[in-house]
Amino acid sequence: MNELIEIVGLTKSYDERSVAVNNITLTLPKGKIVGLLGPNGSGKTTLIKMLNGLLKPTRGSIKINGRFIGPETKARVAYLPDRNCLPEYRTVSEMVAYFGDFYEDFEKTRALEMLQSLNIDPGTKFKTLSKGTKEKVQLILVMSRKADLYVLDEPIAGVDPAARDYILRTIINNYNPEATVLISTHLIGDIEQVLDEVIFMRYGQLALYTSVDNIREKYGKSVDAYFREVFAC
Amino acid sequence: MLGKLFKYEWKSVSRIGGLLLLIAGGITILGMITVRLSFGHVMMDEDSAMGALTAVLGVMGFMIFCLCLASISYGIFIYLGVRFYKTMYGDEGYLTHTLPVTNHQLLLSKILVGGIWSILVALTMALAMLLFVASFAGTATIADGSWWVGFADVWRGIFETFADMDAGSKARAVIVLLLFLLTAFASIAGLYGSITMGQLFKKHRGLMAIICYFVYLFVVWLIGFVGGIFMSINLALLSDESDVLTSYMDTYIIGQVVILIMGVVMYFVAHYINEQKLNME
Amino acid sequence: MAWELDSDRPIYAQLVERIQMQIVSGMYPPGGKLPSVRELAALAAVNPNTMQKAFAELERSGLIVTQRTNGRLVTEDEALIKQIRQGLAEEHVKEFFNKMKELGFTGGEIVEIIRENQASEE
Repeated sequence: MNELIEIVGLTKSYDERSVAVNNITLTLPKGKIVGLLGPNGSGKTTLIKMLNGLLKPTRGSIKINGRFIGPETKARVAYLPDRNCLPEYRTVSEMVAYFGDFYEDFEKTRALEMLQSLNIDPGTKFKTLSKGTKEKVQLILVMSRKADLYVLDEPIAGVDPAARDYILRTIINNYNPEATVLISTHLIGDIEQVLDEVIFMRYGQLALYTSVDNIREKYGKSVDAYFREVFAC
Repeated sequence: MLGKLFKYEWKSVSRIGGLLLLIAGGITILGMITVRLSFGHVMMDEDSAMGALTAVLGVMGFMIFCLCLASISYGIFIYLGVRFYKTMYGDEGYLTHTLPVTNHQLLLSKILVGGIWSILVALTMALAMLLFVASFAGTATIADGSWWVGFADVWRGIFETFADMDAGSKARAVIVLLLFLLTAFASIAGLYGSITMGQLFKKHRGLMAIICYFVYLFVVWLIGFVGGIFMSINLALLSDESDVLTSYMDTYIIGQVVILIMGVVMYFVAHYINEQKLNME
Repeated sequence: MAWELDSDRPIYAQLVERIQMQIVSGMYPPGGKLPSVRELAALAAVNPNTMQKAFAELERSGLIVTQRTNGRLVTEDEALIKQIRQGLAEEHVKEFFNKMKELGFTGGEIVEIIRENQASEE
């Protein structure tokens, strides 16, 4: 079975007028790095929340590796949110222990190696780290898991170019043909070399799901350029 | 998983809980020393003007002491509430809710730790009270140790009262004690449930959480009050039970049972909201 | 560090060109070992599947050989390498001539300019 994520008729509505995600049907395979692209309000964040069990669908279903969303899928999904969600008063090594405790697929030695390569002292408390360093630590913790699905929400936004290179390189180095990486971003140009496929969302609906090479060959444009064309106001 | 959640929750809460208890200990020792130094040898002299003055100051000191202890009791409660909000519905919630655990495990671990700590704090407050009051007794300074005699007197007094009670009252007393322990958890469940109810609103979720909590308190009080009146009328009509202590305990028991039931209700409310209605941020 | 790649064209084709250049210029000598797909992808900052596609293409052209125990090696067929090198050179030259003709130079003038430049190079 090569399908990792099976989404059928997925809808999230808050009342009659406000529909965040509108009847999406989509299957994502294993072993791909997929970009989730779309303007603000397109439903990207809502979709991500539903994949992670942070929001319940109104209609439709999501299955990850054949299972509905729940503690078993959460054990196999590694989520990097677009915000700092680690407790300030804890140290880096405490969070490494925490991840190791809760996630069976967490590889502690890898995490420590990556921290060391960035000269981050595990004994430091989060509140003393700079914003960029906090983000890198969060990324390291997430990428040190051998998960089936990685969901990265804006991993390179607000990050300096050197850090961005590091993040992309980490994603590539971490690649595993049994897993899929879903990257939600609006910085398409910086990331499209790393993508296999892209999902365009608009008004809560699936506008396009195709391979990156398809766009380049068919339209002779970069994904970034094509996106701008499609979503021009 | 429940064990792990409990472990980490315990680690975090004990940091503050332990600090509060340490402060309580410090205040108690301070209070005791102050009492002994100021009043030690004057307290028993009721006739003189000095005696009256020291009695008044003693009462004031006692009230200040109680205020401090009450602040610490509320302090742990407020801390538990704020911590619950931050870890469940703040930014940290993104971490919490993506752990491979069920909502039951999440809530139970937090209620267990919160309940145990509120019991610890309550017991410490009681002990502190006892020590402080005992330090008023006795007629000598700390140096010769007879304040300890006063302390022992208080304990003996408690035990004698208990021993003198009849079987019915003894049973009631045990029930009161058990209820005290159980309602600690139920109260925490009520607190956490109210905070969770705040999540049903789109905006000002923190404010709504506080409002929901006061509504919860009111409902508990109302049911207890009405139930209590009902029970009192019943008892007065049906039995000869005229022992004041017993009827106080009965009213207290009713109130506690209401808290217990409401605690269970609020637990399931919190669980339902987290399962079906969670909407972070 | 990342390779300069044009997002308007399929990346894998550009990777093929790049690696071809590296092989014919001797960076990866005949019979020499190539980095793994993952390593090279990380170096180039591209998707490993894309790098895999490029490798597959190079394998098809015979420039790369996959051995089960040794991994991926550059072919030992020096004639093939020479042929590809020659082919690439001719492409560059054709392009150069086209551009120069666009500027209005004749064949003879072009050769003269080359000679002058070669002298100053050495």
